[in-house]
Amino acid sequence: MSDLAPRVVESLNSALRRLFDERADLYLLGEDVVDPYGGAFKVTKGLSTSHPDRVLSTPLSEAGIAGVAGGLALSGDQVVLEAMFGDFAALMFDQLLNLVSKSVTMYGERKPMRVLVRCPVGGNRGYGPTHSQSVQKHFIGIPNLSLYETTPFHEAYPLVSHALDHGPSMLFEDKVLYTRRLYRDGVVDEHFRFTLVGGAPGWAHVTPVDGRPADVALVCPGGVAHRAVTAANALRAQGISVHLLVPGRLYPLDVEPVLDLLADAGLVVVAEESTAGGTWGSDVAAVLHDRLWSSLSAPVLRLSSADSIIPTARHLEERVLLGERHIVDAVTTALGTCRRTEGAEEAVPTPVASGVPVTAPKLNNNDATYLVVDWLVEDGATVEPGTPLVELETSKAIEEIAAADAGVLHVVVPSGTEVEVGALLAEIGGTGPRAAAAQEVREVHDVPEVVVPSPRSYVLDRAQQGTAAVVSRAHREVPAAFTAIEVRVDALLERLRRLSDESDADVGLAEAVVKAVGTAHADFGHLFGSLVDDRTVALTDTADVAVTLDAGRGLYTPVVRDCSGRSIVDISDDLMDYRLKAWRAEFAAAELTGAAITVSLNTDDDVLLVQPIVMWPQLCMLSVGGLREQVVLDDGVPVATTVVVLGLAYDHRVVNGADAVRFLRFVADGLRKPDRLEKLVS
Amino acid sequence: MSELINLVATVLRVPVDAVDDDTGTATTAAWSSLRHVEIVVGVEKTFGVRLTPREARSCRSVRALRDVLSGKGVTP
Repeated sequence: MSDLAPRVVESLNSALRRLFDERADLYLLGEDVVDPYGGAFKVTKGLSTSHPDRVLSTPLSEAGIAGVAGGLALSGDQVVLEAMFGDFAALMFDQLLNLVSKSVTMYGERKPMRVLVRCPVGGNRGYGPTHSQSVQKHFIGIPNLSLYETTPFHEAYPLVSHALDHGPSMLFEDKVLYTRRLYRDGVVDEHFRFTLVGGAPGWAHVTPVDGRPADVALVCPGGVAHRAVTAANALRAQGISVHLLVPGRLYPLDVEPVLDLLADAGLVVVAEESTAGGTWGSDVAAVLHDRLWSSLSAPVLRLSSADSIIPTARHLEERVLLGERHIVDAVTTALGTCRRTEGAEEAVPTPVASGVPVTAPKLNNNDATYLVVDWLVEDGATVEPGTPLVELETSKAIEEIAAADAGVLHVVVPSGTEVEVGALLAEIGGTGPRAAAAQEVREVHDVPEVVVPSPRSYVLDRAQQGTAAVVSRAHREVPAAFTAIEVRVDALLERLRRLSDESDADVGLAEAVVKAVGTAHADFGHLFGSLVDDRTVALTDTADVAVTLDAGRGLYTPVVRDCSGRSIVDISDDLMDYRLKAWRAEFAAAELTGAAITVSLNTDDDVLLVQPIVMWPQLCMLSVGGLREQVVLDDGVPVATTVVVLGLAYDHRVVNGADAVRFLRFVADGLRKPDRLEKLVS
Repeated sequence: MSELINLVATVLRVPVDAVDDDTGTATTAAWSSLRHVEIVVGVEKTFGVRLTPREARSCRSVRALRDVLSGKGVTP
């Protein structure tokens, strides 16, 4: 018995043998799968000899055999279906889309469809355009259809049996991976170890042996794992700590077990071999942007093969397909370190761009797009690392983007264009002066992103930069006026105390004001909306109210939806959720957008009055001060009472003073008039 | 004295002996909504648990916190 770990093809073959021994109702269908040929990649070798009645070679008709597989599954059997090349799964698409996946939920009760389609995929074998593709992206998002991929970390039996039992499924098997051995006993090489995390089939988490946290978290499918490990070693030599995350199941993707790691990484990268456009990596990046918006310090970096057919000639194929050098170069560029390994300039060109891309970085937590104000360097000019290239306008703050590399600048996006975060703005290098300049680049180490002028200076963190951008825009664009009103809240506080006890919720002044503002939507709808241009106001159908929350990790304005239609207890649930998220800094982007009006909460003791800004393009922001004890005359008798001051800043282009006072009084009455108060808490 | 009592006393900035199982929003003015969140996050960190928003909002006393932790198999 050899001590060597099995090759991936051997692991798959053993898994299928074991499944055939265990499952009497299992069939395997495919072209040329029987012995002595045993399949194009020998995954099925020996199976037809031991199970001649259930391992069957079929005619060359992928659509036909996929239909047969669907029929067998509908009859209660289970089927492993081999596509000789994953490219041929295109011919199975109709059966998978319209029969096999739909049958699960077509008959009034969930029908298990234990069909597993095995697809050898990927290039680097010189097989040409129709035998080298990574077709995973074409099958993402089909309801009921799960996608798996072989990895050098996952034993085949648990992966295949999980896929079959959670079918219909597809298993993508990288062709180059077939002949590589599995990593075993948690060992990758002398510098990296791995563990499996999450429930089956789980993720392989590859970590440096020195235990350093991740500068870079690189997510990739199993077929890219070896390239990623090679890249991680190259980056390690540059002092960059890389953690790899390799899922056994690609779709649906369970990101929960790895979210914390990704949130803590300096840079998140998704690398895949698929050609560019509509890829698995794009889907993963979208999920991560949504889930980790407030933790990411840069857009998720997506790396794939070029937008090209895959050439047969090996030297051309290498230029198109994602390689380890591409990963290394893209990561170092994204980190802005300007560090290069020896011989970097002789490396294979990056597949997706002829030069080093200059992209729009994430500059704040508020803006999805920026305006390209002005190019500071002419198209075609030679730039050095650190040369200011372009001015981007966020929410009216202007940021200079500097070159991270040396070479000739090729402008892609002209001045005056609105671009999304991560958009390609220009490319640097490719020909001519770049080679000479690269020599100088190698001597530059750790160029700081920001020049700090003196030890007593500091740079605002990104969250505060986002706040700065918003308030600057508000200050510069909104001619705001302000009014305030004092409200007696003794009855309100007493009623909220009772409500809290009755509902076991924490319902306080903040919740009451948010609800009262929401209630005003019906009568003051013209204050809930945004200014589209100087003459047009877009109003909202629902009272979506943002609240300001600052737990010491940045100012957030999450949005409580439909505050008119929902109960105050529901609203208190949302606010509690948001307070926890503010503390943990884990908001999703969707929670921070779409407000019709904002409530600024400043309820600390001793706060008399707060004059808020107007969150452009909204029309108003209402502020709540602290509770204060006062003595007032009640029918000529001095009595102690508790008051709070509500303030309203409003865009005077849209709202006039009398209207603002009416609105404030309406909100105040909701908090103090007995009949309105009962409605508020009901 | 239990870790839970210590934690609550620290967040509320009151002496440890002023905190018992009855301490909560109903008895202690210092237990504001912001301090409440601070207590919940502190409990999560100290005991290695995660509270749902609903659990977080209902834990309005030391006793309630203790009950939720017990439900998660933690003896505070």
